[in-house]
Amino acid sequence: MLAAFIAAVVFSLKRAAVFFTPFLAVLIFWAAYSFLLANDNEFILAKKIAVLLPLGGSPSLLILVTGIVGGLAAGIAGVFGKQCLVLVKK
Amino acid sequence: MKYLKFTLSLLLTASVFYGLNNKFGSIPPIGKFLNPYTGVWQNESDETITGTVPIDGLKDKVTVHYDAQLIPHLFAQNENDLYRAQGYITAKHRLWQMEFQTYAAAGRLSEIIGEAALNYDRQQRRRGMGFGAEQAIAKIKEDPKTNALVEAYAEGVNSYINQLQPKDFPVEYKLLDYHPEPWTIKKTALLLMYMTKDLAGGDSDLEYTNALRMFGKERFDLLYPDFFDVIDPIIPKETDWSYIDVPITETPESELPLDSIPKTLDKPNPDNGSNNWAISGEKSYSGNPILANDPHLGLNLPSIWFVMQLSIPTHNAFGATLPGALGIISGFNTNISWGETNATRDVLDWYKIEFKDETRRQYKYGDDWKAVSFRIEEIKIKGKAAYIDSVCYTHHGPVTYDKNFMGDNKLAGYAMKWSGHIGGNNQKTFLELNKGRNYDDYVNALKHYTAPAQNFVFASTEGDIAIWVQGKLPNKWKGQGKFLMDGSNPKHDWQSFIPQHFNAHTKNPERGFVSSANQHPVDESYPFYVFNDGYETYRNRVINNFFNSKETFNIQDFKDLHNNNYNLKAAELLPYIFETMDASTLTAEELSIFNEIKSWDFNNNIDELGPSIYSIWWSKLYDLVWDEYDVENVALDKPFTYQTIHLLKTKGDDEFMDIVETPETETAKELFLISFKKAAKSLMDWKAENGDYNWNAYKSTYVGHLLQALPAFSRFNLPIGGGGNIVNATKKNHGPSWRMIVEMSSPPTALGIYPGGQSGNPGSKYYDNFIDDWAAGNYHNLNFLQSDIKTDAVIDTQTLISN
Repeated sequence: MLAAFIAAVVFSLKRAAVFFTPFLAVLIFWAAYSFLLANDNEFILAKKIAVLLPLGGSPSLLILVTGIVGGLAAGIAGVFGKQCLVLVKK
Repeated sequence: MKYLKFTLSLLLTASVFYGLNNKFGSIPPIGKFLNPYTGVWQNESDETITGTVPIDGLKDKVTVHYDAQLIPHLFAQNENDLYRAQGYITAKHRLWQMEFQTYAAAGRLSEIIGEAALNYDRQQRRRGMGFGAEQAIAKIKEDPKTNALVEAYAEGVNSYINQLQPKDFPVEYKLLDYHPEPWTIKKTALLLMYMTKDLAGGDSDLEYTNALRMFGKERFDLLYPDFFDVIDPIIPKETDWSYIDVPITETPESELPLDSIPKTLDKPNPDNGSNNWAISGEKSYSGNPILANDPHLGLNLPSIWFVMQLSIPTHNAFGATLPGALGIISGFNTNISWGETNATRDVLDWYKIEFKDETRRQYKYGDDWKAVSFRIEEIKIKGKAAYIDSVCYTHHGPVTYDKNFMGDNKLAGYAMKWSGHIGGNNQKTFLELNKGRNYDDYVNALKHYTAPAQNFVFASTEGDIAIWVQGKLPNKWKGQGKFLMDGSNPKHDWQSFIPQHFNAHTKNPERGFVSSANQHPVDESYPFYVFNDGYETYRNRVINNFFNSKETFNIQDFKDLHNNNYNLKAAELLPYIFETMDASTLTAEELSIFNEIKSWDFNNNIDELGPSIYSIWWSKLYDLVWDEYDVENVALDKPFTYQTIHLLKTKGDDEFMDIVETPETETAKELFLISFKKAAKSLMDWKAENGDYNWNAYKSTYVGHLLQALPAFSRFNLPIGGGGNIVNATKKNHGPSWRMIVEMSSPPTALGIYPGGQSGNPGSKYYDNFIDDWAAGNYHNLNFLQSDIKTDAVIDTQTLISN
């Protein structure tokens, strides 16, 4: 039981990491880069895109959404990569 | 299991990536769109205006100085380089807009937007917009010099497009998920067709045919007179026309087809119009003529205008350009200045076509049958199969209405005869005005101009002022083209054109000023037939009264006139209503509103209540007068404002005043009261919802993005007064799209402003930075640089060199 439990924990941790490591990395990266681009221009466009999408005109929310979108794609890709690896290994 | 997991994760990945990279309905492809490397974050900047840029085909270098308003001042060594650079620089700041407008002109919006635009596109195709553009190209090609310059402009645009990476595309491309295509001279021709449609693409012939059938000729003439009892035409009444030795076309003995027409094409905004005027040196505070222009168009972002200075060693021009067309359209150079208003001449007529049989391969003409040619219009639709529409073409023009479009008769249709299909080298007029030196050059430049007919105002440093009503105008018999005509009767064709030198004009008139505001071009003494195609009757009288009111005028007077909010229409009607209306039955609330409007001084200023009350009251009154027009399945256009007020004041007991659905017989007097009560109710409801109905809040002017006023990219609730039929013609989303004042000193000094900004990028601080000043009635000094030497006005310089 204990072994199964530990294995499950280890396995599930891995699974989460497979997704969350790239997710977080790209989230931070996209958010930081978009912040830098917009910061140089006083967020003129970010404010408008945040009305368009609609995110209540909040550039911070838009940056967060940008990060999540990038992170999501990266995370999914990570999972898929892992599955490929599993497939190739056996 | 692992295969299942693999398959699941593959599907998940594929669907997430598909979802992020594709457009759903109006939602942009969110992954691509937000990706900071390729998406909108890359548009979060101003355009680069420094450095050296190689451009294909340049012969010499072109210096581009930018001033603080982001106005580019181009200094080239020859015309070819100049217009190549104009193409490049315009594309750099306005690419999406210039391309989008040509898609709209050509009826290709469905390619970008999808099926929602199909009906619009079909109308454009049925109007023969592409056909007209092809005729114009054929004319331009007859003139190798113009053709070379239009080609150079196209190549300049393409030099810009070709160096773009997808990350550099303007925001709108990313939003709608498409990419720019190469620019061609056809696109320039289409842009000019877009203006022709906007300014000369409206008519009421089919509606008038219905009205004639319903009301009879006598009533029709009362409702739609060719001239009103009061007119102040563009060309002064005292003009002597005795030099005109070509007679008006004789009226044929024939009958008109009195068909019943249920529905007609969408019309361009009837408020598309403008003001222009110029005063002579004698009337000017400085002794220099002064000229002004303000075209009234839809208020859009990016703006229809892009301001530039275009200079080569032999000429130096400045003013408003139309992105997509060459040269300055409304502006000045070292020696002359020019501007346009719409001439509103009837250059669009309809002919009933009788097909020989259901194959529609032949139509009746005279005693014979003539062959139809078919134009296959393929409308591509985003995400769907293309829509194919075959349009029959006759010698008149396209058979717009037939069994496949707004009609059901297999053997008949209505063909359109339009000056927009004649083809003309309109571009050459502007190229020549840009380098014109005097009155003769201006007159020669105008000779090439076909459509849309415009009132070209002129002033020169030599001291001349003038105005020409210019276009290729048919010499019609009296009444020709007012109604649907018989397409099989050769005598109903346009028989000839008014010789260009007999187009109405005036040079240095005695009164010391020239002006136009879309009113009647001439009075009845002009020998050719001029049909009242919806002439404006108020702005022109305010303008002319102003210039008759004192001896001399200065720049401040010109600014005041542009911003003049006097509502002559209200001033001509309300005192009569106050005199005749029985106010004794008004409730306390209604009475308070009535007293508010009674104390109004007829100025449509933003803090007034009067203009709001008047505007809703007038619209209710107008609808009540013309309730006879609320007929299902019959297309009708209600009579003109001026004539409506005239009838209310002089024929208050006419049958038309009666409200059809009530048993009582109403007269004008009752209509005043009933409409006032309706207006008061509407105002009280409005107030309950929105608060105080001062004119600013009630009118709530906005400048809307070209994509259906997308709120994120538009500007709302602008504090500006004015209104329809007012010199400051600012309505809710329509008005002075460019205001210019030029004093013809040497060199000229000029002011200009428009409701927008030089950059087409919503991410630029130059996107809408003129709007607040425009709304406040302010102007910017136009820095007319005299050479390519950098001055204090220049903030940055970019050099274009040959590649």
